Amino acid sequence: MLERLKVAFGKELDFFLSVPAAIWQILFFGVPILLIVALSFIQFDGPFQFPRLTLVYYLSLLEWPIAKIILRSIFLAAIASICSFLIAYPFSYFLVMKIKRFKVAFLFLLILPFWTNFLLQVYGWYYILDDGGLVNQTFLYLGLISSPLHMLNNFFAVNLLMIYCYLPFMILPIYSSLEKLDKSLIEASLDLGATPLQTLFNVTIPLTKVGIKIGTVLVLVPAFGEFAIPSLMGGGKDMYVGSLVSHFFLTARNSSRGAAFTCLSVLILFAFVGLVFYTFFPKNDLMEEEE
Amino acid sequence: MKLFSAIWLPLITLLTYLFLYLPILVLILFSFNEADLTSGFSAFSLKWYSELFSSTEIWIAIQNSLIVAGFTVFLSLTMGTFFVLYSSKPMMKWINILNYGEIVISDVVIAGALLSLFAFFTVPLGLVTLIAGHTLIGLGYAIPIIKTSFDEIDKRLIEASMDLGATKGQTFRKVVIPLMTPALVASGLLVFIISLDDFTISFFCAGTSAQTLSLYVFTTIKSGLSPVINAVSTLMIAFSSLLVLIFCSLQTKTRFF
Amino acid sequence: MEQMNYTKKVLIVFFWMLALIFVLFLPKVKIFNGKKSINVYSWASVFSPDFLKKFEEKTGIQVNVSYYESNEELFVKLKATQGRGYDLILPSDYFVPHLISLGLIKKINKEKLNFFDRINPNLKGFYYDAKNEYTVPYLWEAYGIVLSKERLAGLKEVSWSLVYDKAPERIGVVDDPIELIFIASKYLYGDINDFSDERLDVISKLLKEQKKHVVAYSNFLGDRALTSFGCSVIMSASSEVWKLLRRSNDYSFVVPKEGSILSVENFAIPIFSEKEEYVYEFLNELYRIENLVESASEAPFLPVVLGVEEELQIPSDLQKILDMSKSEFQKFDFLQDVIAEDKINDIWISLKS
Repeated sequence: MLERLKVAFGKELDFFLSVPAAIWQILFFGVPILLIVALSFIQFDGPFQFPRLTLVYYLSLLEWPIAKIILRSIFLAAIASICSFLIAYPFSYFLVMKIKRFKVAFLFLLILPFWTNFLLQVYGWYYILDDGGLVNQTFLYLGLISSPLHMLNNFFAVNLLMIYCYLPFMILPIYSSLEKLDKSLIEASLDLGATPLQTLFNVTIPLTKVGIKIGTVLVLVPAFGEFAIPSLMGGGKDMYVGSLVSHFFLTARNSSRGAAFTCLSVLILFAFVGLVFYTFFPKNDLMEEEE
Repeated sequence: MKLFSAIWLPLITLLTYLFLYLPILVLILFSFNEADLTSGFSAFSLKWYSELFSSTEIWIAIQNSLIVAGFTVFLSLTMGTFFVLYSSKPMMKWINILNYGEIVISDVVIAGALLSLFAFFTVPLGLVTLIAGHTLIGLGYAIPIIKTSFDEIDKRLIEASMDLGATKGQTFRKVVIPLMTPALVASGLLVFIISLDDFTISFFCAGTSAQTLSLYVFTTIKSGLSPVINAVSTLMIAFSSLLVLIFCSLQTKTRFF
Repeated sequence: MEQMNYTKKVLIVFFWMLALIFVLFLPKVKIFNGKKSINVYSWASVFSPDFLKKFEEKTGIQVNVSYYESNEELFVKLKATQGRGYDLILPSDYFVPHLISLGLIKKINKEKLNFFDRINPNLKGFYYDAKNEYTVPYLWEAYGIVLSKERLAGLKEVSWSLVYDKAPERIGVVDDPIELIFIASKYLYGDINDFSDERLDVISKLLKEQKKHVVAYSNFLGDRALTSFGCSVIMSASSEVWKLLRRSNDYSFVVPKEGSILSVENFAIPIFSEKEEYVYEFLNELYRIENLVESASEAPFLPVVLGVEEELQIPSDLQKILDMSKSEFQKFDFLQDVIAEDKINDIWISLKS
């Protein structure tokens, strides 16, 4: 049986076996993306009229509320990135440089929360942050406050959860970069008279640029489009890019406008990430650039 | 600087670990709490666990999540492996580019695009569409891992096998795949967890009829807290720990970072 | 270079695509197995799986349920298939007139329904089907305000201003633009007949004013909003607060003086269904007291049928609504899709930006 199949296919057996993966990606990624782009430019006037190209959906997005929503998402993504970087770098530095034994254990502990269902983690934070939760109970007990702090349903909660969820994404690439770093370079720098701080900023950080870059992208891109965290932690009061996409597609059922908005936000995201790279990671021809 | 590295660095590291684990620990702790409030631990009780085991709704959700994850892993691994083994160079190159595209575009866009596709062609939303979406993401992770593992295999072993008379198919079955087992298991685990954890794609593509664990927790959070979720969390955390343990032990054999 | 056999490759691609498409549309395939069956098209989570199984065991009729996400989807489907393919649907109140005028649903033979007399007379004879010739109500809810009994005692009367412009610091409201707009209209103008641009402007400003006091927008506000989020009052639908009212005696659900919105889901039979007999059997079984009690315990909804109040342990506030006189009940208004989609979107997006 198998032999006959092989004969029937001839040289195309390889193709037969390998093409499903390709078809899957094209059908469920390539085609939908093209569909979205197409939907954003096409207007169906009526059931019997030929659809025509139009910019009307994009133009309808040029309003201040929409711009505010996009700016808000950019702001959120930026803050999440910066805060996670500020935590991730010293954390990774410590793990790489100072931990000699049981490194695997530390890594295991690091990865584990990452592999817990994200919704459940958000749920856990409710226990900590709500009016009767851990933080408030502790502070009340210690007498630091007299009435509960409202830490949910505001920008603080959204930000905190963003940092919480995206921290591992920033840590792992930086850790990886630091690991591969040639430690003797640091020693050399110190030997040549640089202070530890100077070494940090002039040697260590530039040499781990690749890791920082990857970490930044891994945080900025998803954080920009995030909609679950703002929805659960923000009280549904303010819309972010993700919430608006969800609104257009699921609530308002306006696929064309949703498509236009999605395309627009992707372009803005690319522009923003490009800007960040241009400002903070300029191409330096003395160093190898590896993607 | 000495002071910094002696005190501040370890402190930041410790606080970070605490930060990462705080919600998890709280969840586990309160799953044993008698009362269903967030304030204060009242009494030790296993009643939420018993309620968990008697509630049909949550089991249907867990079941669905497992079904979707299972199929996703199966499809990602089989299609991915065949792709890595049998695809031609140009196809590989193009699909790699597509993969990069997937990473650069946020989940929401992919989910929204998928929904548009399904709505446009009136595909009924449900578990099948979920599996389709998850497998897409799964392939994006599985193919690079499997490919790296394949590239690391000493090509002379394949040559030797073929010289000794095995066909390409036999070589792959008996030589290559066994050599790639750690990577296959690792990517299988990774895809499994990604599918189990996923929320965005489920939210857009599952419709209202297919309830997965993530969606169930989402509606419960919005409507009020139920410690049954804590019980679920504890069990899932135990389960994930096991998977991560396996994954980490495999890491010592394959490096894909 | 090997000879590339393009025809074969194209065929292979087609093969896989067909296989994929087949699997994608599998849920739509109705398995013909000669068994007695009915096809129900409704919202998700309306029927408990246990009940469907019990029904099949008892009568031998298999119930195939498919789901729609919105009334619009139901409408499009029915129009496209001319009502064929489904035996029972569950449209919302404001959709029924469309369905009747397009001849998509058929008249119901009320004699065949053994529970019709048990239905709360308040829920019969609404504008969309005055003589209940086409529909039978199944689920309903009213919108109101939930507040502590203390606070209620301190108020002479309850008005929607309590959750709009004269709201205390922290409130929770529903997350639906149409509901918020309609209730705002009832509050400001006492009716929902006129949604001119000027009125919408005023409503929009009112909503922005309201937002200043809102802690959270959610369609599932209930127990926790009042405790976890520290809200003092919330706007909610009756079905959401049932659990809260049952659990705690400290809160009241009140329908404000300006009147409120009612929402009713009704069963209807598409015009080309040939399985009416089975459908009647199904409905008779569904409306039996023990089955209603079981459904209500899983997903609480106020009963349309009289006589179950005690078994369901309906909180007194909700019971008051059920006990209202017909004339009082008629003061409820229904949501309608009379406002242009774009205008709603504009208001909502600018509110939340």
